[in-house]
Amino acid sequence: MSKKIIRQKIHDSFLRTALKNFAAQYPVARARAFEGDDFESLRDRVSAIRDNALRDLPDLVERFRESAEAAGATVHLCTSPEEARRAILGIVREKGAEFVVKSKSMTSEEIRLNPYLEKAGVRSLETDLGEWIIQLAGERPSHMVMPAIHKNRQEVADLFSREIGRDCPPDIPSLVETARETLRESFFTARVGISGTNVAVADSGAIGLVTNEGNARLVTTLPETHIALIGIEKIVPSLAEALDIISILPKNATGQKITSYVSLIRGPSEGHELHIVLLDNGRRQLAADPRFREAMKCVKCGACANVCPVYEIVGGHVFGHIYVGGIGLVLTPFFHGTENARDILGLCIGCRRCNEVCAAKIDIEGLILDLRERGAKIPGQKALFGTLMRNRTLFHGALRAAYLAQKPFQGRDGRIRHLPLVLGGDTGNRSLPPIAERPYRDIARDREKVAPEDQGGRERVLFFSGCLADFVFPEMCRDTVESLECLGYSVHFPREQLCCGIPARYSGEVGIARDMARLNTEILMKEQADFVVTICPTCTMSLKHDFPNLLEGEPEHHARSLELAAKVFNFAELAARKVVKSGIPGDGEPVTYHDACHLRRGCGVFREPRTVLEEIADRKVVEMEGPDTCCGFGGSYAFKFPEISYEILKKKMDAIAGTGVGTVAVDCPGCKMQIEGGLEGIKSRVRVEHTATLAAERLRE
Amino acid sequence: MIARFQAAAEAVGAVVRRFSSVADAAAYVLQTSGHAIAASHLPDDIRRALSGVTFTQPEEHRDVPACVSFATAGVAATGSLLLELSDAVERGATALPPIHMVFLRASAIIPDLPSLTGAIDSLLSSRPHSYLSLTTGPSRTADIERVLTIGVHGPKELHILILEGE
Repeated sequence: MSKKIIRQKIHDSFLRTALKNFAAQYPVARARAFEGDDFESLRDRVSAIRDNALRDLPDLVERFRESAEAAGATVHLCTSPEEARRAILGIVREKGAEFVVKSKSMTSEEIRLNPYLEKAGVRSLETDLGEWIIQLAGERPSHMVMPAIHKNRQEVADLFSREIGRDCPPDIPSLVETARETLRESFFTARVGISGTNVAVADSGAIGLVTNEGNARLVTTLPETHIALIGIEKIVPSLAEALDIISILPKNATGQKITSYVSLIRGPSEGHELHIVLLDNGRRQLAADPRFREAMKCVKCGACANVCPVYEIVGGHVFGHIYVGGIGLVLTPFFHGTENARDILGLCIGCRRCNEVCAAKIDIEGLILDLRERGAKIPGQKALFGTLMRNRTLFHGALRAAYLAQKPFQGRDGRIRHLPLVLGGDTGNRSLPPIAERPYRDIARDREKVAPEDQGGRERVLFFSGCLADFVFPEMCRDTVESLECLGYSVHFPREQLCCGIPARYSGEVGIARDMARLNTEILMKEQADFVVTICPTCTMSLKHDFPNLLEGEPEHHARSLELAAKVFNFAELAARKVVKSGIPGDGEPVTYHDACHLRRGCGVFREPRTVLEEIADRKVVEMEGPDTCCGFGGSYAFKFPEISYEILKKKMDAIAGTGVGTVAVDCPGCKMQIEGGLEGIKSRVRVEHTATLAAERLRE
Repeated sequence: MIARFQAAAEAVGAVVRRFSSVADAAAYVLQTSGHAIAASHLPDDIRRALSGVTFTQPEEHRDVPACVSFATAGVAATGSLLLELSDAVERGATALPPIHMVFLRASAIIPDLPSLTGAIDSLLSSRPHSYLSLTTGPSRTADIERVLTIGVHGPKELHILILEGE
């Protein structure tokens, strides 16, 4: 992804404001739309409907075709975009039409229908307001549901003025009225109307259109011929399933309980023709793919973009290809080829917010990670991850060498403000903590020598620190161990432990991640212990979820990894176990709490840290706005896309400042590094501490 | 249930009026839109009550100020109306004029969309071809700066005339 385009979007102040406001308003509207509904059970149903449908997709396509034909429609089953375009052009030519009206269809964007028709001498007019705007601008949708969200009223007024040859004031109601008046005639003159489809019903042959403006009703009513374009994954067995999809779609898309118009069309009206173009374009093959079929459960609501912190910064012209948002990144390689997906797959920061809202419960983030594995890798990274990370002595030796190498870049307080070479310019507004002189593994060795572990009937905990805490925040590790000991555990640090493998997996090096999973499982399972504690939620996710998945093909290691997974907990979970709840918030200095993405959404842990802060650290927790929105770190993301990362961080720093408190508690060394670096860069005095540190401060008293 | 329907419909910008007689509702139509209006098929009692109205020809639909139609059902949870509009001319009549007035019998209001599944299914399959419009509030868009604006391509006003006391 070109840095220039990213920078241009970051500095597009209208785009930024529009997306920021939307990001703030969407969750409120969405919550209201789902009032009285159980979102989780509704999306479980949608997910199951899609799962079942994908399983018998070829059969469902056949059944739909028969029913639709029985109702008088002509069905064209098209394998490729080219075939679909040709079928549509064929119908248009047969009707002697030189002009068609269209209502919104992402599938028509997928097959790039308009340019094809124009080339063949057929004028294709988009009548959905947003689509018309971007058609006039010669652009593509920047959102699946709100295609022109990136355009402001002045730009729209300029486009309209140019198109209709008179001055249009930048006033929204009058621009809308202009669209109504200007486009009205075309519904009468066009002999062919082309629409998309939101859902198709196999048993009746009906199709469903979910719209707001009313143009789709005109497109499917006034011209004598209606062509409906449908991706085959949109077929469901019966009306009940269709209504479930129709019910979740607008709530998740725009926060509406239902749209103004839901049209259910079965067969052509008297004196009319209905042509249904069913598009495959790799869908049947994808439906047979055990890993990636999940992507086709998408109902195209766009919610994954609505909540994405990266989309909020750069918009859909960067974060997507034709389909945008998280699912857009996933669908692009399948519909538009890996060459178009390579750049954009890296843009996901991995915060998993999209997974939380997806109407079909798709593991969008997981699919993106797995697609990175399939895609092209950065030359040299295999050597870095492979040789270095699998070999503990080499890797740790390299980190120790880095301690010396960083010296020239450290400021008086030891923090790094200027990085050499590639990292220099872009990370200039943040400082980085230095690599510690003594990693925790050395401290632990000495500590366990001086005071050998005394179990004394206590529950035994193995401490898996993660590389960042070990080498950059050794004091955070010490605070963890001391807190747990004060709380009645016996803690041991197995010195052979390796990197959890996440950096390798996130960079698409799954083979290496698998080796790390196997080695770490052996190391941790060698010891007798009740628990394994982590202080980095990404490590937790890796140990708990990724290890068993990665080792699935190795029965013996897989079984061990499942035993290990059952023992792995975050610091806050283990600490909270020992709390006898008083229910009285602490009276110490107030703190605000930032939920790490991988802790909140990856592990479902968000109550325990607050309990630890209130009951053990004796603090009062003051919530910030959006405590669970990403801080912009995302591991190597902060270095790959420093500008996006910093823009996300700025929002987090504003939220922190809004609470007026002097301390932010986090449960992730990555979040600490990111937020602390940002706050230091703006000369804020707010402290950023791991929950374990705040607990230890109190427990030591 | 009527009150729930009314609240939901008003929340999305519909005008809701409750009448104890068809005649009163017909008077409201005349008062709102004048004498020449478009119409889709109407039950006999309503058509008779609208005797003072001239129903326009299809080619005039694009120029008339209003249209009247009849809803098969109302959905209380969302304030939606189920309209059976399988005839393209009748459908055009409800889509083109700026005002759309819909008669709805209070007894046809059901709680939510799932409870309408059976009715929709039988409407879809009871004739050789069918077109159903589930209509909720007036036409709307938020495509420019996400500012909600009423009445882009469809009716700018939706009036729901609930007939009670049958």
